[in-house]
Amino acid sequence: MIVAIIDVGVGYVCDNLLTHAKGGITRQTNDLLMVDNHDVLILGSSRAKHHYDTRFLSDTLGLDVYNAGFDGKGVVLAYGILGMVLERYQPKLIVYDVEPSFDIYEYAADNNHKRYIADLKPYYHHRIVESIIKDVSIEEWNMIQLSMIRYNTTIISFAIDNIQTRETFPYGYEPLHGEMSKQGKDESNDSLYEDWFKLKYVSRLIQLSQSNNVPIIVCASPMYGAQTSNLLQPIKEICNQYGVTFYDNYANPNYTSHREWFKDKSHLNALGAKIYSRHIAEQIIDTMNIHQITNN
Amino acid sequence: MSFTAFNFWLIFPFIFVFYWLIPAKWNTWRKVLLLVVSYLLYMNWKPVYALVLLGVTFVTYVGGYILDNERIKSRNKVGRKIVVWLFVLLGFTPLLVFKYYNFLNDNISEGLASIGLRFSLPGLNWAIPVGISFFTFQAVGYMLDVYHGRTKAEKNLLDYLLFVSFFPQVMSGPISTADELLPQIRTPRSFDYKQGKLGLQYLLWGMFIKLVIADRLGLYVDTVYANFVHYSGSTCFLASIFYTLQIYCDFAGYSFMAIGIAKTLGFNLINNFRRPYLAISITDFWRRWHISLTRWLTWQVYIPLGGSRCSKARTYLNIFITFLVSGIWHGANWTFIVWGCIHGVLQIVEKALGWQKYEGKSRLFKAIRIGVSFLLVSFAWVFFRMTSVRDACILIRGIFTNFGRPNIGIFNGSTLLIVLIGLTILVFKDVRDEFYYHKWGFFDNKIVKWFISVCLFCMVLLFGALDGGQFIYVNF
Repeated sequence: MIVAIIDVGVGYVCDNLLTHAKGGITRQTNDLLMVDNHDVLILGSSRAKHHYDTRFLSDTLGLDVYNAGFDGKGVVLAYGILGMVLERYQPKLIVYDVEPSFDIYEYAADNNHKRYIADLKPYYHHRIVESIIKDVSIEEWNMIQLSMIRYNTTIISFAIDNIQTRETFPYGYEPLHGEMSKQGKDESNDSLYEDWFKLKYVSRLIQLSQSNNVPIIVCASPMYGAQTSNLLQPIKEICNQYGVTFYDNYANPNYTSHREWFKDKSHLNALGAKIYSRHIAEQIIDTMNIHQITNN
Repeated sequence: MSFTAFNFWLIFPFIFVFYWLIPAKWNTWRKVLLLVVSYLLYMNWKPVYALVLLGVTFVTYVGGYILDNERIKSRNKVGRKIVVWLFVLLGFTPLLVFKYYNFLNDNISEGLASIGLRFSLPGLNWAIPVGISFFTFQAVGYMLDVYHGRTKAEKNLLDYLLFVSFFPQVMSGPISTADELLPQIRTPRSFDYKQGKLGLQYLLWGMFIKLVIADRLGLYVDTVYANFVHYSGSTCFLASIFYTLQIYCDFAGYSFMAIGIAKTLGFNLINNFRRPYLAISITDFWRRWHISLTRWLTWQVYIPLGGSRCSKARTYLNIFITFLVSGIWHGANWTFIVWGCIHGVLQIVEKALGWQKYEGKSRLFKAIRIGVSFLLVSFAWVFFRMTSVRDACILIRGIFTNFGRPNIGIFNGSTLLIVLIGLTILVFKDVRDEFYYHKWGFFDNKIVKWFISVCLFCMVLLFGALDGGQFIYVNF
């Protein structure tokens, strides 16, 4: 009984903390999903978040570009973000950056895909979010009916973001500084197994975008030391199937041996991101009809 | 099924209610219920592996029965020894095959290759049955107890089946003895409110240290250990200390939950942990860490080898062999063997220098000894955690050579705060229980106890890593 009362109280407080956050990731995420209208959304993992310099892209494309990449997250969350955004407005372009572990293959830390829905839980009353959470795990859906579980862990950052205005990176892009020091071990690709669940969401993301007449392009940003992009074959096939443009820079030799452009094996540093963003902007201008996108 | 799984908590209230609804005079039906539940929960992982559990149970049941037979007993010593060795080997066969076959095969192949002989058997690509080391040791331990005359053979097959498969302990212990658990299985009992309440307290504390502390620390540890070459020595050192705390909170958390669940059903299991990181020596550490395994190894390995009732050199050898077995028990990897050897050597050194105990009154000296023991245990855990001895050595070398600031940023602000709050509560409780048990009576007040319990429960829901992290020791 006491716990039930506490749970109702926690739910009420957290709902308010979420909508009244002054800054930080709480405000940033809530604004992205519930308030702001951006022309171009960059979706994907930390590789999206740290590789697409939004200020540079905005200036070059003449559009308002927002980087909605999330550390350690992939296509399942991206689908949720796009779905929620489409409930309010229609962006002019979606750029999806692919990360093989989060978007194509089984990954040890996936935790049955539950890691990808954590940021969506506070928005569980949205139909698209409900469908994703139920698809990932019915058990999870049942659990989050308890406010304390729904706001598990996030309550602290909600509280902090209501007390002080934590600085966040404008337009979502978070540059990484410093150069990679050691390469580390090369991981074998022998034991990679395709994850049909993630690939299903890649297809769904494209379908959702296309059915709402929002152009989508899929990109694979550079990976240090990558020799080939064979790993991305399943994504290439999906893109072919839906007629979606795929920019494959994963093993682009212009990048993959430049240690000074990388923070670590998977992430470009600020300098690398700037060079890559220029490159991707040129690719978009070359292949997409920017005037049509701008006037949409 | 894991105790932290949501589904378990949907099922458990039904198990509890049905169990206590069966009148005590129909104890057999209660046992049947527990047996069915135990096997169903075990089969939740891989149903076919229940056959392994069943096989080990039958072999040791028959072994115990034969070894307790008067005709066998009256035979000569050698004949009885052959019988017991035969059944021990049979009992251990699944464990040896599932857990050690690949390790032995690989090492023998490599050894032969180094002298120019190429020979290898095909590897086994099978998952290891969950808890196999625990239930095998419990079952074989029972049989050896019968052999040594420490207990009578259990004739009732139902009781014995439940003894080996009892669901709170089958996956990660504690490893019970027949004398402890079988009489409790036999005796009908009625619900004891005090015992039930104590069980819930154990359960809550176990959940708290597992979900709020261990699984949160695990985020830092996993990140650093997966890419330790990229991190400074101080970050690796911090990760090692965090792993020391993580493995305690993880394993003790499981044990407390197992004890708690058993208590709610009227069973008392052995307490597996007694504040091990407040030990004043490595010898003392092993009196407090995984107590049920230490007891098993003492009775079934150390004492049969001669224990301490022999020459000094032989005693040291016995200690070393015992900890070598402990290392091997934990896993089929050289890292576990090195870990066991480190503990063996440290205890031999302590015994030789007379450092196992400290009966002086200096608090400072005691604190220093606790700190040194903690660091030594943490050092050994590095080998336990790493996938190869070489990697462990590189990490340890990095700690002493690759200086730099510790990277706290691996934790986000919320996680850091949760970990700090959790660790403060853990240290406070353990220090109080160890040094001030009868003091600070404020915490024994009924209302305060309820308040603490509600707070802990809410903290588990609000701050616990509820997304299904597995227990480390389930892999053993």
